[in-house]
Amino acid sequence: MSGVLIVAVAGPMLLLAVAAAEIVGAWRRNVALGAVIEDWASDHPFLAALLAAFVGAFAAHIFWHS
Amino acid sequence: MTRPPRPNLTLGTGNGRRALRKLANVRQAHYATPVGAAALLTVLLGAAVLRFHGTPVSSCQSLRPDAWPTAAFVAIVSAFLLGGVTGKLHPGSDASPGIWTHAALTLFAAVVAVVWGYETWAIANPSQNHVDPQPITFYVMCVRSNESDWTLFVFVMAALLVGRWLWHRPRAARLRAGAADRSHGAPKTSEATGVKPREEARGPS
Repeated sequence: MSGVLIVAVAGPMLLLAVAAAEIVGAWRRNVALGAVIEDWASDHPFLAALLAAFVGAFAAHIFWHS
Repeated sequence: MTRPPRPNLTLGTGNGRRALRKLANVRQAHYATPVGAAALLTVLLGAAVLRFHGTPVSSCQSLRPDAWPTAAFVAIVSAFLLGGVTGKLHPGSDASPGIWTHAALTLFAAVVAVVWGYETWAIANPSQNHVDPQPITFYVMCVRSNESDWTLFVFVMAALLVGRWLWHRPRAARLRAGAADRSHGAPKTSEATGVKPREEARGPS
């Protein structure tokens, strides 16, 4: 199994796990994973903005690379 | 003229009825983002296995730049904004997170830490002639070079979820939304859900 296949599969799989956790949390009418992060983002808006900027910079790094 | 009484089509009682009611709730708006993302990512996962099975890293000796970088930028930023909008559909909650939520969050952070550690190690120890192991960002660029649209799609999904979580919403507004949601649906009490409200969980101050 090559590293290319592992990364090509691991990225969507990680996001799929996150989406599944969201569905289970909403299904059980419980406090979902996202709600905990939303609470943290509400309490620390500047850190949340920095984290979002980092994700955006990573995406730009991938797509602007030549 | 009076209408005849409607037949009772509810099947079963107890747990079965509750399961059917929950299944009907999946049509609610706040399920749209995670259910849609899960369905699309499942398809993409299968396609990625078929496409990249047996693809060597040596096939990425020359990475092609993306054909539409500005369009990719617009798509990712738009997905982030859309995630911020759809995040408002999610009902707030004044409940305290359970042990499984904390465990999942810890596991997620651990995975990110391990991946980041590998990335650091791989950058510090570069391999020659484009053979494994390479930094994860190189593999991502390799996948993007081969299937630019797929990679953009994954990043759009990630931006959607990040926007859903990190978009700033004051806590009070989310709690009001949660209270309004519960007033229209089944009552949510600590006895029914087994989850203690925050103040109850903290104990008397």
